[in-house]
Amino acid sequence: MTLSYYPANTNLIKCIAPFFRSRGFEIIPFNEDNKQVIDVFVLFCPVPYLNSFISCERLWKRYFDRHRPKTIFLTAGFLPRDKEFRQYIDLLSMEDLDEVMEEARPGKSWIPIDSGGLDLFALINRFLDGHGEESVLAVFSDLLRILQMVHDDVNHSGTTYEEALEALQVRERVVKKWALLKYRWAYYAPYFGCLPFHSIVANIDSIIHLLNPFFANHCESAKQFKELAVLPNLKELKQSLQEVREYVH
Amino acid sequence: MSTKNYRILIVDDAPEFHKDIRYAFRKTFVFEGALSTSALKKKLNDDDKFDLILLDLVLDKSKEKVGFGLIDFVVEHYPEIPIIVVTADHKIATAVEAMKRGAKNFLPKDNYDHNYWKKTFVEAIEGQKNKKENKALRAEIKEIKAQMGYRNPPGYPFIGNSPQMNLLRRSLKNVGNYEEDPDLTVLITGETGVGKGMAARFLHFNSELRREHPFEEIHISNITESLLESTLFGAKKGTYTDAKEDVIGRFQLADKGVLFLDEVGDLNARSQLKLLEFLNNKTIHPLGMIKGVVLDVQIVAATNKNLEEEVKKGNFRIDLYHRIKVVHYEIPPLRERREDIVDLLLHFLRLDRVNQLQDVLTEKVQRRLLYEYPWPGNVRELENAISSARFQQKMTYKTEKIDWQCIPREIRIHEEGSVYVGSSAIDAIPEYSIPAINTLDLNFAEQNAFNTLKSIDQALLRMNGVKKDVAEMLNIKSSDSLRYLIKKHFEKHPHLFTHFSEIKKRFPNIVTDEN
Repeated sequence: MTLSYYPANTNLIKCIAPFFRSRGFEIIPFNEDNKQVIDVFVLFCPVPYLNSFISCERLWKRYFDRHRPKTIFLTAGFLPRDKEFRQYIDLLSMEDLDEVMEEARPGKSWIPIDSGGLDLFALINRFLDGHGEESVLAVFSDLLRILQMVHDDVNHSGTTYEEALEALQVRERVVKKWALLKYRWAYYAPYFGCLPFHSIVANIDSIIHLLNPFFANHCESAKQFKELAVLPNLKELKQSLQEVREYVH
Repeated sequence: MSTKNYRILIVDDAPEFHKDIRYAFRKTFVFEGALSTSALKKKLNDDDKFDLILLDLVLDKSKEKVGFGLIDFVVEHYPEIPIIVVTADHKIATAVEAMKRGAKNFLPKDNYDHNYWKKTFVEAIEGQKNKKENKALRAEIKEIKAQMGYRNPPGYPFIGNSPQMNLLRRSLKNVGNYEEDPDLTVLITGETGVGKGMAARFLHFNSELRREHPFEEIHISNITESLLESTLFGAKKGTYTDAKEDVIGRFQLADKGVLFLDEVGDLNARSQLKLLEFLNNKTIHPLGMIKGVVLDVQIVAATNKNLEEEVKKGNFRIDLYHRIKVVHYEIPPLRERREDIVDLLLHFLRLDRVNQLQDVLTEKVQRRLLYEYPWPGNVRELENAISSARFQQKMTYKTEKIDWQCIPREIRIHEEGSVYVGSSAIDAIPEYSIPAINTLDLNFAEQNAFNTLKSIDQALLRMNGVKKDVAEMLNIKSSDSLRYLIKKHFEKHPHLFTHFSEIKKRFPNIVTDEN
C-alpha cells in the first residue's frame, strides 16, 4: 500500500511515517505526474508557501475527489482534533492515529478542517470573479467572442481583417481585456504552485506567453493571428480557466 | 425566404454587445436594442412587431438574473415573439430554467459561431411563424367548418377535402336536416371501400333531427337468409324455434334515428317487400305479429351493385328501387379524387402536416401511393395497406421510414408509370387536358400545388369561371381567398401555371407572363 503526502519537503512526515511503515505502507511525496495508485494521502496544513501559510485543503480534496476518488484523504496539523472531522491527524495526539485510520474512508461528502491559513479557495475565487468588476471568464469570453467575430466576418462576408478589426474596435477593446487577464493571472498564478493541478497552470502560462506578442502588437497582424493560431489557443485557454473554476465552484 | 426582413431586438446592458451583434449580422437581420428592463418594456409597448428577442439574463451590476422575469413577461404579453437567451452564464441549470420559462434556445456568449447563431435565430423565428400559420390555418379550417356546420362523428371521420367530398358532405348534411321531409330515404352507391358507411354515419351525426337517436348499421349479406326478416323487423316469441323471447328488430332499435342498410341489393324478396311497406306506411310487421308497429326511421341504403341491372335481372323490385333512390349519392372512387389520399394518409399515419409525410414515407412510396396506384379497394384498401406497411416497417424490416419493401405486394407490382388524373366528367371534355403528373418532374411541394391548382382549374371550367361559385364548391372562404391562394402558388411555382389555362384565363392580373 502507498501513502503519499504534501508538501514534499516537510519534516512533519517523520511524525507519522513510523506508524504507517509499521503497517506496510510505502511512503512517497506527492507527484501529479505519478499515476501510481495512492491508498492514503496526507496533506500537512496549513502549507508554508510564498512566505505565508496557505489553507488549501478544500482544493486538494476536490482534486482527489475528481481524480483519485478511491484514495483516503487525510489532513494533518497541530489543531486539536475535533470529533466532527474524522479524517484529520492531530500531530500532537498521535495515540489517536489508530482510531483515525479505523474511521477514515475515501469519499466525497465531507469538508476538511480549516487549518487557519490564507484561504486559497477564496483567493482563487477572487481571481476568477474579480473584485466587483468583471470576472476573468466574462472578460475572456468577450475577448474570444470579438476575435471569433473578426474571423467569421472575414470568412463569411468578404471583409478584410483590418476592416473587421476597425469595425469591432478590436484594438481598443481586446487589448484592454487581454491586459486585464494577463495581469490578473500574473498576480494570482504563483499561488497555484501549491496545488496539485500543475498541468493546468502550466498550460495557462504557456498560452499567455505564446499569444502575448499578438496582443502587444494590438492584434494588427493578420499573419500573427493565423500563425499563432490565436483562436484555437484562446479556446484552449478558456478550457483551462474553466477547469480551474470547477475546483472552486 | 429572405431573412433580411427579420427584426431582432437585443436586450443587453452592454452597449458593446449590441454593436458586435449588429455588425456581425449586418447583412442578415435588422436590429434594435434595449439596454435595460424598462427599455425593453417601453420598446415592446411602442412597437411589438419583432421577430425575435435576444435576451441577456443579467441586465445590471447587481448580477441578478432579472432576465428570467423578463422571459415570463414576454411570454405572457407577447407570446408570438420567440426569445433566445444570450448570456455569459452557461450553466446547464440556467439553460434549463430559461427554456422551462419559455425561451426557445440558449446561447452562451463565449460560444459564438456565426453560422450556428444565425441558424438558431432563423429556426426560432420561422418556428414561431409556422406555429402562427398553423394556428391561423387551424382557425380558418375551424371557421370554414363552422360555416359549413358539420362535424365528424367520433371514431368515424369522413375524410377528404376534394371538391366531390365537400359537395357530398354538404348534401348529406342538408338531407339530414331537411325538415319538410325528415324521412327522406337516401341511397349511397360507390365501389367497395369508398366509405359508404362513413357517409351514413356522417349524415346521422350531422342531423339535428336524429343525432340524439340511434344509428343502427346492418350488413345484409352477413345475415343468414333465414334470420334476415326477424333480424330486421323483429319477431314474436315462439314464432320460430330459437325465438324464446320477443326479438326486437333493427328497425325498432333505430326508432327516431337512422338505419343504415349496407348491401341493400342482397335483400331477399320477402324483406324487400317489407322494406317497401315500411317506406310507404312507416309501419313494420314483426314476424308473428298481426298488428303493425309505426316507426320513425330514416333509411340510408348502400350498395356497390348496379341496382338498375339487378332490377332488369329481376333480383330487385323496381318499385323499391324507385323508392329508395329518392336521394341518391355516388361516392367517387379514390382514384378520381386523389387529393383525398393525402388527408387519408395523414389520418391513418396519425400525422398533423403534409410535410411530415416525408419523414414517414420514402419518396418512391409516396409517389406510388399518391399518384400511381389506382386503389381498386379504395379507402379501405388504403387503410389496410398503411396498417400492413407500418407493421412491416416496425416489426419485420425495422426501417426508419416505410420504404418500398414495406408496402403490400399488389401495390408494388402494379404497372409502373400508370397514373390516374382527372374525374370522368372532366375527361369527357375533349379539349380539356392536364398532363399526367408523373410526366412532370415535380418535387413534393410542387405536386401538392399542382393538385390544388388542378382542382381550381377544373372547378373554374365547371362553374363557367364564376369565382364565387368556385370558392363555394371548393370550400374556400371567399373569391378573395381564392385569388390569394392562386397568387400564393404563383409566387412559389409560376412554372406550373402553364398547365392551367382556365386559371390563366380567369386571373390574368395574377398569372402574368412577366413573372
